[in-house]
Amino acid sequence: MVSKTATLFICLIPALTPLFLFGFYPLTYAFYLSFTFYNLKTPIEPYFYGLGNYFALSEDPVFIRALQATGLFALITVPLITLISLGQALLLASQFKGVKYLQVLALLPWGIPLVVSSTVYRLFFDFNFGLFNDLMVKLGVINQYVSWLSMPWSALFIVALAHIWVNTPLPTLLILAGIQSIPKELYEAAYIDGAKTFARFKMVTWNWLRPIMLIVLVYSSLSALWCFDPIYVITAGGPADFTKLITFYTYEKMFSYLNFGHAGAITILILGLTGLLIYAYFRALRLGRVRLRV
Amino acid sequence: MSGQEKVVSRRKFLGAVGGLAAATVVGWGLAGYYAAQPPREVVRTVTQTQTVTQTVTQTVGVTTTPPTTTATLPPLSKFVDIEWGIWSWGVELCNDNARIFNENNTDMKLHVTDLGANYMANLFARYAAGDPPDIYYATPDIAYVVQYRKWAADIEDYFPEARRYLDDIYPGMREFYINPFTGKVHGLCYWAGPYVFAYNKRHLSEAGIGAPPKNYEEVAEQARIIKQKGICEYPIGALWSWGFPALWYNIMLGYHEPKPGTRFLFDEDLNPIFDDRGTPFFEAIKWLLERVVVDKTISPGIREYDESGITTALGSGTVTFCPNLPDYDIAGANVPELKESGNITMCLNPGTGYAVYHPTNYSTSTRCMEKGRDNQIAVWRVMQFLGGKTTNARPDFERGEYFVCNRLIRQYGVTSAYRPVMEDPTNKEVLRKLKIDPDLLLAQYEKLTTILWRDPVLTPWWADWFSSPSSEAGGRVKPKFEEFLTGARSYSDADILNFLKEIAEDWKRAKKEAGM
Repeated sequence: MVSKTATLFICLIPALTPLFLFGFYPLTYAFYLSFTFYNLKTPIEPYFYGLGNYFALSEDPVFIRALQATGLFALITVPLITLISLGQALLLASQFKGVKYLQVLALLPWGIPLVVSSTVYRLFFDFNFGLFNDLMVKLGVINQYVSWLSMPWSALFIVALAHIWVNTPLPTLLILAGIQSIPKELYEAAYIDGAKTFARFKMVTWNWLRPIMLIVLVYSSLSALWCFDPIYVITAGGPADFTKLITFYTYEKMFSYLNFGHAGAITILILGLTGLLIYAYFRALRLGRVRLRV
Repeated sequence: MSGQEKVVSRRKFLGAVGGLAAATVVGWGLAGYYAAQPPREVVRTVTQTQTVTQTVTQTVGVTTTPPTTTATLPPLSKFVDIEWGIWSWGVELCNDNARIFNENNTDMKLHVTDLGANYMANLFARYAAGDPPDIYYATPDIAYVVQYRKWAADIEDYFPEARRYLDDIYPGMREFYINPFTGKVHGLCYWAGPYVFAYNKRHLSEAGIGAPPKNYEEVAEQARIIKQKGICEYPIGALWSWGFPALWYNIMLGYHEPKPGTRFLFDEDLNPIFDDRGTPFFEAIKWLLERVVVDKTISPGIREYDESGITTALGSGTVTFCPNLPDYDIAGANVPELKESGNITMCLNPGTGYAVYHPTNYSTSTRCMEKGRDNQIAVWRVMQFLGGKTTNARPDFERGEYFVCNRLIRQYGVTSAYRPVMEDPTNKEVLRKLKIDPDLLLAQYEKLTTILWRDPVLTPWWADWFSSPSSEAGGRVKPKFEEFLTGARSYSDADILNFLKEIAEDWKRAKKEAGM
């Protein structure tokens, strides 16, 4: 028995080593930092600071603004990612000529590095040379180039667009797999019972997909919470901090302000928020156990 | 199952344990915060700051040449390995320079470490880990922090002859190469150049304007004419990202000639002096906002200009003027691929003619110097090769040349703080080929001031407050100012004053947090 356990642990070492090194250790260190005064720009040596970093954050208007921006960003991106993925999956599940090519196209953004796709968006909306301005002028929508990335709401939407573009393929794939696993008999039974298209979608497809949709919600919420690259590349948090999401704020605290204590505290707060979100969604998942009512 | 087992379910048990753990952590944190308030080390007092500033001023003013000391370095008693930390620019050139150095200095080795694009964070992380590179680049905000923390050594402490290099440095730049805390030369120049007032001469000519602006009122007037004639929609641009502080200083300098003791933002005790009507900063903000809101000669999108953005905008004719372009970017705006190639030039900063500059230096770590005399000699050899005068990669102050500085300007047009480098006929010819008028540039070199970096001194939180000259991120003033551009603040005097009061409060808070 002992040797079996030992063998089990030995076999797990390759999997657990990176998990500990790059997962648990940094997290534990961040936890330690969050209770430490640790600012590399001051000559003050690190010391135990209790909840000082957390108190300091609660008084920092930029932190509050970053939280608000993150919430707003999630409010925009989560429903859109969910709806677009559902729409795409329904389309790709249909049988028509060329659907295979569409499936490849739908997955393409997933294969492009975030920095690259973000740079494309930045250039696309550039206020001097951006293609978007050119198109809008040619279509007569605007009569002169507009600095879209310098207006708070348009900047936020552009960042959201870049984020959505990259984060839609995975949920699409999940939902598509879900749709393809629906037994045909359910549709046939619904058809025999006289259910129209919308009723069939509501009673069969939607009910079957509900657990998957909740996973998509978890995924899209967490990706909104962790979104960094588009902000870094496209807006750098501006204009006027309007697109400064919590991740970018953490980055600033860590790598620009070199305030490791604050950065550690924010990391722990994000971790807590992530945990809460996952808990809430999984609770919802349990309550919403699939009950097909055909 | 017993009744007791039903009461203490696994879920309840886990919940209780979790709650207890959370309560313990919070209690521990609170207890730590309230009970264990450690003494904060106040390193610099106001009095010290004053003294330091006075020392610097006196030192620069009185003498630059030290007592004569022989520059001949004794041979090394053991083989020494020196690590040179660089950022990710010109990596091949750096490696090639290291190769040349090693070929001529066989008793030691210089090796290059690329600290990456996130240079400052990586450098400081190396310091925090107790393993800094021996010699590395420092921008003003980096130099200040490493001096403040005593991480960096003053090269003059070990080699007094380093002070002789001050004679070769343009007067307006000298002060930067002196540690404000000690009055000693801390390192030699890597590169340095002014933020110049760049303009498009074709735009001016097409608008019927005969000469570049002589003051900032003329900048506004010429921009209005250029816009009215449909030559350029938003004639005034600027390097916003890392040139943000320089932009304000160049505008302020346009109106106010710097004199000994001139202060724009802070007094000797580091108290804000800008948060009132009529201060230079107030007037500079008002000037810029009037161009944005009234004349509409500055786009609210000005905030999107990073270095490549403003260079391309100039070169493509999207803007006519840029008051704070790094000098070497004139070459970038004139590359043949751009529409306005050959039309982008510079003039003295309108008004007083004075401008600020961006310097960098080679710093050496205290840790390197503590390794012993051999390391000190080796790093001084390296520093002189990279930022001083050598013959065959060996120090030679009397007859040597600024080998690496010359390479930088000849290959990339990267300018220097040293007069012999800038006035070298070959280098001037190189600048001409890069479409940079060397005579105009040298005229600006003669009218430089260190006030951007010595107003009266930098502080550890300066870059976090104003925005870092070595990073795109950070800064409290910049996002708050952007509220004017987004329309969240009006450009009325009252709103400008409110803005100044707010950022003054931010400054005071940061100063208090730093224990100063």
